[in-house]
Amino acid sequence: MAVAQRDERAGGPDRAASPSRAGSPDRAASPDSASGRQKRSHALSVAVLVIGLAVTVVLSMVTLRDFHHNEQRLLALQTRLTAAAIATTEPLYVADHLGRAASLAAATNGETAVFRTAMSDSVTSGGPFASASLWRITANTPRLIANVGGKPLLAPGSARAAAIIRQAAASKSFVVAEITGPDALRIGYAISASGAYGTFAAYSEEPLPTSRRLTEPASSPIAQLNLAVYLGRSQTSAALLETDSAAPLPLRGTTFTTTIPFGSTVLTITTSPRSSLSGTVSAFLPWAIAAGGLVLTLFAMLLTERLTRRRESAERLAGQIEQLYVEQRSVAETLQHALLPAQMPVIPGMQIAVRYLPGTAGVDIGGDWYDVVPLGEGRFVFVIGDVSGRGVRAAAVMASLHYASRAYAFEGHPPAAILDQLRQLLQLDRDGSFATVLCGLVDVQAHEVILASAGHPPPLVVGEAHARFADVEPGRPIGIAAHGLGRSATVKIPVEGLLIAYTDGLIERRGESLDDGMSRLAAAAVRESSSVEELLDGIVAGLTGDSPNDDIALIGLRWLN
Amino acid sequence: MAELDPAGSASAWLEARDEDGTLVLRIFGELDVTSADDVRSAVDAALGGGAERVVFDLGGLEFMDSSGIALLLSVNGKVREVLVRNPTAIIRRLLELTGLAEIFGMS
Repeated sequence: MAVAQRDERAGGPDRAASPSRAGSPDRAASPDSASGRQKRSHALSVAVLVIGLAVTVVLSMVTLRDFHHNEQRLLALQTRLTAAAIATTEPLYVADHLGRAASLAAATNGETAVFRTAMSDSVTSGGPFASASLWRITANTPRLIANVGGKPLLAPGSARAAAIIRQAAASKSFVVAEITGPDALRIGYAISASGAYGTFAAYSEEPLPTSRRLTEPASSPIAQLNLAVYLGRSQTSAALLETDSAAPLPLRGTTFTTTIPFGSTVLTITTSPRSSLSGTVSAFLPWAIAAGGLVLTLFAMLLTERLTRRRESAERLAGQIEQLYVEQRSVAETLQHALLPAQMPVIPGMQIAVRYLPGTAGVDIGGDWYDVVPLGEGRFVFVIGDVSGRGVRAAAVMASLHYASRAYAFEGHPPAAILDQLRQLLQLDRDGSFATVLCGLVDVQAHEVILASAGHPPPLVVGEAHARFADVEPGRPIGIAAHGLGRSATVKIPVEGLLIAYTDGLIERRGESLDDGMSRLAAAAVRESSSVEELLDGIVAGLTGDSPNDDIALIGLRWLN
Repeated sequence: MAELDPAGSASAWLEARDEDGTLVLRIFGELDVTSADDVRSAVDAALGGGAERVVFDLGGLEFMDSSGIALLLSVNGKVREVLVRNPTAIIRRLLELTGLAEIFGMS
């Protein structure tokens, strides 16, 4: 089914171009080969399409991979820079301020005034902490001894509070914990210091916005990144500290994740680019290549298809022209044969043979003819003629001269008079052609022929072992103005002799005088032959090349006694 | 396609010049049924000058058949006098055999 549709589609424009094609013999004769050609043409186009698409895909993928690689690299670079910036601010601030307060407490035996002074900057409206508290750790039991700022979300007597403070006491760096209240979220930091008076822990809480959204100015170096900061290593929404991403978390696509130490735990920083980091052109390039490649491929395929169809069309036309040529040639030959007598009359005492060979110069019909008109009482007229030029016009002139000469012969005109009558039928100036004609009145018993020639080469008279051309003076060809009756000559034919009349195609050969051709003819005619038919075959074989350019007409008359 | 290009397809060309009021037409090559039409066009163009007397110089003509003869004869009908000069033996014999030598001032 697919093939049939394809054929129909492929045949569409061609049919439009040559409406007669469907009825042409070529198509009718070989539908299989025609559809085969169309399939081939498709295969070529499909090959172009496949190769074009493959090249496009490979190029696009290479560019895209390169682009992603670049993006990843730039993202990693920016993320590390961002992480470094965070690492040098937040943890240091906590360690510095809270650590200093704990150390002071350890040095002053938990002097609350000192602690308050130390933490006041960090807890007031300008500082990051909502509250700060000081704990004394004795016998592994933490006890709150001072509080600055608001009430901590972490209940002082709770097990969680005890756990956090104990953890801080055991840790060298600060401890970080997420503290969830009924309507707020805070990060708790705890750090311990030991001195002469024992071990003290400073604890502070930093509020986080409930949305956990961060806004940074557009000029910020991370403005083109989606950023999510998690406490700890897991990227769950519960662990999320801050994000500036409008996109849902966790971040997808091109992402980069790094961690920085944050007290007893780590901060996990994940980023993804908001737009292409290496520029819009780079992001656009793979798709531009894909689109451009696709367009070029389709164009190439259409062009291939079109050229293939044209070639097919040309091949088909060439085939048709060849066929037409053969047909026309065959028509021309058929017409020629129709205009020539189909059968020679039977003349007692005579053997008559004729030959007609179409020339190869073009496909047109030639203008050569021959005729034999029996008059009774052992007399007959033969005519051989050659109209100049070719084609239907020459054939028409030939036909009129042929039938007119036949009529004049029947009326009993002598050869010179027949030729003279023919002059009325043809004018070179008017008709564009002329004709050479040889006419002979044969008296079989008398072994005599009266010959008249209108510019025609002389016939060959063949006797036993010798041949000579009849001495007949040629008058002007038919079609050229001439005055008065032309001359005629009477020629005697030897016993069992022959007379051979021909048109110039038989004796003309490029680069040779007609005399050479006539000599060859004379030589060929004296060879032993059992019949006049055989003799003419020998002459034709001996004098014509593989492809005589001009038409050749030949008539042989043989006296049987 | 080779069949369309007949074997022995000939080429002929024409050179026309004026010699003291006589149009001299030199034909070269092979003048036959395949080349006569082209030469005829060239001859007609040369005759456009209104020459009264035409001389065909056939010294360079290697071959001629009845189409060539028809061409020479057609010019004969258009101007006052047509002569043939320098015919090769081949051409001379052809014109003699066709009874035309006298028309072209060759006898």
